[in-house]
Amino acid sequence: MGMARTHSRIVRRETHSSRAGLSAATAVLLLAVFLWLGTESVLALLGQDALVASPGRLADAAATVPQTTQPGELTAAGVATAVLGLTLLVAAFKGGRKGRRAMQAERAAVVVDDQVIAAAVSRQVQLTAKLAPEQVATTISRARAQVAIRPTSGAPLDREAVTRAAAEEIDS
Amino acid sequence: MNHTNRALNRFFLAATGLVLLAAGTLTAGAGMDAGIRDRWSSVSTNLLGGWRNLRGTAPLQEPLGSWWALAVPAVLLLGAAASIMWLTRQGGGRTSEAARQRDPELGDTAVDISYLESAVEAALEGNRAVVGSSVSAWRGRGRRRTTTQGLRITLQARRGASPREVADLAEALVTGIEALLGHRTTVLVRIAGGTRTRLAGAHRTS
Repeated sequence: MGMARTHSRIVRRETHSSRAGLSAATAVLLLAVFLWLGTESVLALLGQDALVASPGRLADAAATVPQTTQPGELTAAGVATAVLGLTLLVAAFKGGRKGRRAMQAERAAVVVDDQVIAAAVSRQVQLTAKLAPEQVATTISRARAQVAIRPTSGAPLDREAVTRAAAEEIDS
Repeated sequence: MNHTNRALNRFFLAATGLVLLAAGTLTAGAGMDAGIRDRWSSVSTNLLGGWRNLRGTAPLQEPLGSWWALAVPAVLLLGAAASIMWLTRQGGGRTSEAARQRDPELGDTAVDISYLESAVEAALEGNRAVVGSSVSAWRGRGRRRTTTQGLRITLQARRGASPREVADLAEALVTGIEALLGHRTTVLVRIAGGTRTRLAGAHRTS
């Protein structure tokens, strides 16, 4: 039945961004531009006054833009637009990983927030080294877990035991 | 689990990004090089001339001027409609039916999601590792007529609870649900740590 394939597809969709937000924002801007230009052209057809500028004037302005604007302004506007375009391109191709990862499970596809893993590691470290919650902070990134400990002055810290506790928690 | 077409979203972003990049580079180039500026002016004058000739080919009474002039707002409004359709295609796919069994003789039986939701809540009552839960149902993607449902269970873990413990708990829940429904279901379990996690007390073993 391909349950494993279904699970991996579901997990991939859950752990990566769908880019729906960015896509919707771009579509809204496009919609605004289409509606504005559409209104302008309909008004021009009916012989009414334009809202901002009639299509004829817009076309003429676009054609003569190199003559009428300063070269510096043109370059600046061009660079800004190009950077925006580049951002969209990068967003389209980058992974877009959310802070979640999959866990081993048989009957269901399980996805955990990294935050939950971090809290569990912190707790194990606290218990092993008998520390207070404020003294341990764990950060989880894509391939690493970083535990920052502020030991109580005067009390020795057993590094090995602590590292082992953290690793055990992660492995499960 | 929703119906968002992710590949299409990324393609749309890439296409728009490419167009903006090209337009921006062209404009920046025009600002820096006089030759590009002259090309721009000549190309646009040619285009405008071409448009005027086109308008002359299918005349219509004033102030419309030409059939081609009608085409411009038509195309723009089509573009607007396409954008609206694009916006509506994001997400979706949620149902209130957790499972449906069709029987040509006896009729259809549908299980509502609230039944499973209260069953899961009851099962998690008093559990120390989980603060809250929610269950939702989603229709299958692809061919919309397929009755393959998916369930999505979100468990809010207590701060410090071991993910392994919660995952084992989730598997037990899924086994229970499959026993209730009588058949295997595709289930996605999300173990989350959100606002409820932060506000609730930390996990204590005692």
